Amino acid sequence: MRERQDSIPGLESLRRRDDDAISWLVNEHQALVLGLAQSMGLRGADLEDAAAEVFAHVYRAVPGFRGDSQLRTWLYRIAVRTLSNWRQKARSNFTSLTEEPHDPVPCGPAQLAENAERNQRIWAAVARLAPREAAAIDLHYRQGWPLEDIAAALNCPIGTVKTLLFRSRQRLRDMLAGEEDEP
Amino acid sequence: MSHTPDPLDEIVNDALRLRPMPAPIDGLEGRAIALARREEAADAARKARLLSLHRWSAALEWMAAGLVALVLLLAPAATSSDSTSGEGRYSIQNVVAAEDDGSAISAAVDPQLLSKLAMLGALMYLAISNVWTPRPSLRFNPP
Repeated sequence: MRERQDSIPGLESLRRRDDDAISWLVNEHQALVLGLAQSMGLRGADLEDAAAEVFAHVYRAVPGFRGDSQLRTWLYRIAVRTLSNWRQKARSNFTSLTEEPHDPVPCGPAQLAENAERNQRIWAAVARLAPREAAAIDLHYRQGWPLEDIAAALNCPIGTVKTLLFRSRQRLRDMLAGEEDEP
Repeated sequence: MSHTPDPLDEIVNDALRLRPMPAPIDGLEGRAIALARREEAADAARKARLLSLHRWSAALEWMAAGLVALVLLLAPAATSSDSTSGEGRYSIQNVVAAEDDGSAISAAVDPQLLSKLAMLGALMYLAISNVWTPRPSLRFNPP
């Protein structure tokens, strides 16, 4: 069954790479790509360069997009591969979020500050996961995608997505427990 | 059996939902298109180089095959020659001379030269067809 294409302004104009269509494509999916890059631990100039590379690959590949899958899952598949390669390339100078200054923790009641700190630790732990695990976590928790769409985006069966999520949670638990044990 | 929710699930859920998204990047579209066009131009140049190399290697393959064929044509003549006489044995030009004279072609070619030529042709063919022949991919595959 062909999936819905309602949100696409025009498949043909996308394939022809019309300016308006490309502009829509980038604006509409920018947050998705940037969110994934952020979940994989990229930030600053790395994040911007990686996002530009993702959309460059999308721009080159879009004439071949047949519309057999949803545009966002197709695009996300390219994003996961590109960002995984990017992180692999940059692994030597890749620094996880824990090694960089944290985002400002909001002032206020102690509970709020504690929650913010815990969230920072979770974000940092997600950034240390394998790229596919980070992508699964990002799509499931942050973007709220259904399992079927995550499976399509990661190009694997739903069972594998469930395993990925289970394993990622397990690893997150281990990492967070390890941090708590540290003096 | 009652299903106990995983507390970590809730914590991760909250933490990730609350995570602020990165700010949109100004001019991302322009940067991406410029990068894509640079890559396309580099790809086109690489494909042109590969195609040119491909044509050259095809031409060399034909030359090598021609060399082998020439040797095969001349080989019977060489083997039937009288190797003890020593007359007219040392070059291919002598084949033509021998034909012009109306004398037997069989007296013209050195079998050792022929075997070297055959070896050279065969080696050239193998080397070109197995090592040097590029098969350019004409399709862009995203990483």
